[in-house]
Amino acid sequence: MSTEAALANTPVGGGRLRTSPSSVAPGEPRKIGYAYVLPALVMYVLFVLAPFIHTIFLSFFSWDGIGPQEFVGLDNYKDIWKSPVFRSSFVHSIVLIVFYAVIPLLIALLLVSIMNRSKIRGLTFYRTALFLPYIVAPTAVAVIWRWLLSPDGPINSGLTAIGLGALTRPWLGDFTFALPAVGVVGTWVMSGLVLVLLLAGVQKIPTSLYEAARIDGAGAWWEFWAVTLPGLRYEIAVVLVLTVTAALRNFDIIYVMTSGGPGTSTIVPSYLVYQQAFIVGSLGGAAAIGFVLAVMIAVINYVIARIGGTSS
Amino acid sequence: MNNTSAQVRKREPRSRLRSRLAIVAGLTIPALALAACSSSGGTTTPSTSTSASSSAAAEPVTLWVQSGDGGSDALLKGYAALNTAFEAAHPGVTVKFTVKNFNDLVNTLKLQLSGSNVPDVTQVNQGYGSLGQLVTDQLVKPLDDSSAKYNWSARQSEALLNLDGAFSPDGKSMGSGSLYGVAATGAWVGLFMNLDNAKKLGITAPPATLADLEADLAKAKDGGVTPLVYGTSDGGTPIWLIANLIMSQGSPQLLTDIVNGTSATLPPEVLGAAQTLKKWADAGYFSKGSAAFSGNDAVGKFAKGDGLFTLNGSWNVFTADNPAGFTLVPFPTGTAGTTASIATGDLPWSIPAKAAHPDLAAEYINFITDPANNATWVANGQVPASVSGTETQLVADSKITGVSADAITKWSSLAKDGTTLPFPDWATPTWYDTISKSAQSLEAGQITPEEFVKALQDDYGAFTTKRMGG
Repeated sequence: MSTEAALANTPVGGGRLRTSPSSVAPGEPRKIGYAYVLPALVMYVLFVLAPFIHTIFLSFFSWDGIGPQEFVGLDNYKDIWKSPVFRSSFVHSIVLIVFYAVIPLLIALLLVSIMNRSKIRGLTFYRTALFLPYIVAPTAVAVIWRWLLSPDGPINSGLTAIGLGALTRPWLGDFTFALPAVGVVGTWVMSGLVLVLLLAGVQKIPTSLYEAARIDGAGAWWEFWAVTLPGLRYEIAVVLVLTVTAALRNFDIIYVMTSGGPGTSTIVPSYLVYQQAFIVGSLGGAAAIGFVLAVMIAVINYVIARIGGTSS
Repeated sequence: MNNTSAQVRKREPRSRLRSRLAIVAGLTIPALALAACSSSGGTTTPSTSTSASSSAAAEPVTLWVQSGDGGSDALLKGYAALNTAFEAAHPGVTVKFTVKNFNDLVNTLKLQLSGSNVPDVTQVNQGYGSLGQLVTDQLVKPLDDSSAKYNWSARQSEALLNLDGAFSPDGKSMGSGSLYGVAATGAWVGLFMNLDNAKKLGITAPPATLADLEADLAKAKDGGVTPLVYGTSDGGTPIWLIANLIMSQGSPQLLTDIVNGTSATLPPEVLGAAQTLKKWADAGYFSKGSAAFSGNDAVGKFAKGDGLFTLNGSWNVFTADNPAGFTLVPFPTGTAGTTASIATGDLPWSIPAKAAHPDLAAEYINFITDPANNATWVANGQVPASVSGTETQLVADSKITGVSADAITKWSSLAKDGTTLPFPDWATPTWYDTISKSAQSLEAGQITPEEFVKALQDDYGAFTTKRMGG
């Protein structure tokens, strides 16, 4: 049935829609629905889907952005596969997932289970304060942390002041510690977001479940393990999707804090996309890296959704 | 990774860093310069000049001049003064001076010049990735006729003119062929030296040879002074150091040959330079934690009295409390008595192929590079690219002292009697990143000098082979 026909079938008086049972099954969404999603769909196709498909298309070409495009098949992907820098950039991404997703989740679960067992005064204040890092522009966050971590910065000065001068180092210039130092920034940014989402989730767990657990003699640990954690399963899945994606597509913080250095010790795929597109002038290579990254994000998030969301 | 095709360069080491220390903000650019200074100005403002070309000579003409020196206020002040003077000397001509930031200019220039609404004169960036591509696509005019007409080779050395603006007409070889751009101001990389600290260490004069320099560095180390204040997080400094160490082992011309890409194989001096850098790192000649701060941070520390030397550019001169306590000298060459340095023009001025007033444009370039106007540049603390021999006097007249004075006077002796060398990272679009990241790894002991050379060679060989072959 066309949209016009659906509209024509709608009674003016606002009564029930009369359609013949053969055209639309009972409970089936009316096709007028497509008209409602049309504006959003057009935007989505125009600004998300079309560029995405164009990017995949470009990844098979050698192109500098203006000159002629030359079809090179899978060469761009082969170049990626052969590049040790590219492979190491994915290892760095996985390290960043630990800092962006795993550690914030563990911190938030701990805080949530503590908050849930005791009444905390001024919860709104803490919630706002913890959420603040997430809404500060990442570039500003990176500039602040670069200063904190600089060789003469507050972190090193603080360590020296409390007698731990031996631990001071040029954090962002150290081949071993630059990546964890950048990761800590991610932990700082993400923990608030994770906490707020989990707090919201924990409030919808019926208190009767906790009461039942207590009657059964559960301590704090079992209460967490048997009630809180299963109750938060969907929230945890959402949180992981958000934070893992943020870790994998991290660009701004790396760009401002280290530009991938020292050496290539903090280089990440998004930085390589930028480098290929805007420094090397190889849009094909950049598109190929971007596509590989997108596939990787999609696969990981699919796995998270499968584990967290649907299996019951 | 695919290193081959080149379109856009980033972070020219000498480019936009200029304003940090040398230039005090707050200078008012005349309304003339600001008239179309917004970021969109260069691309969307309709040119009032396109229609004027065919009309009678008496009719007023607007000359559209596009600069990429946004952010360098003192430099723009110099241009504003010269624009006013140019208008006074050419009745009926109005100069429309639009300013872009360096990255804005470089990233959009090719697209802009291939359109129909183009400036009459524009700054371009040197190197294969930038001016080379404009030449290949025939988007800029050769300036050989103007150069002969106005005798530009009398005001700038052949070497400097070639360095800044010469390309073969197909854009495939740099440094010879036709002239496509001329710079008005210059910049060079040298050793900043703290003379007070030198005196305490018993060092009486700037090093004349590499051996002298190494002896000075060792003395500083023993005396508890940071030998070389060094920051590598932003790339520039390690690249210049490697280039200088290549240069100081043999003929300075070597560096020009590498950048022009006369061979796809790097000379053995690159390994020698890498070994020296490693030796210095192991000896503790660099600032502790050098990978965590930038070249500008290093100059900041140095200006506060830390260390014996730092390596940086003439655009990063600072005003010290005791100007006499600091000097800026070219990095020593292998043989005493010869001077050479990375020394090039600022972004050269070119005339787009579709310029509406090409003759007037050539006259404009002639005007701003005329040594007769050097007083305007010096008064604004800038290094005039054209040398007239009066620079020392002009510096004294303008009461410029310390390293700021050295920047101007030593440029004129370099440009007259020394060898001017290109920035090494002009050689390939990715060399800036490759050299700086590999140098960080080399300094930290992550890779050997041999691996360092291999990283540079892989990048350089791939690009050079493709350029020469295709």
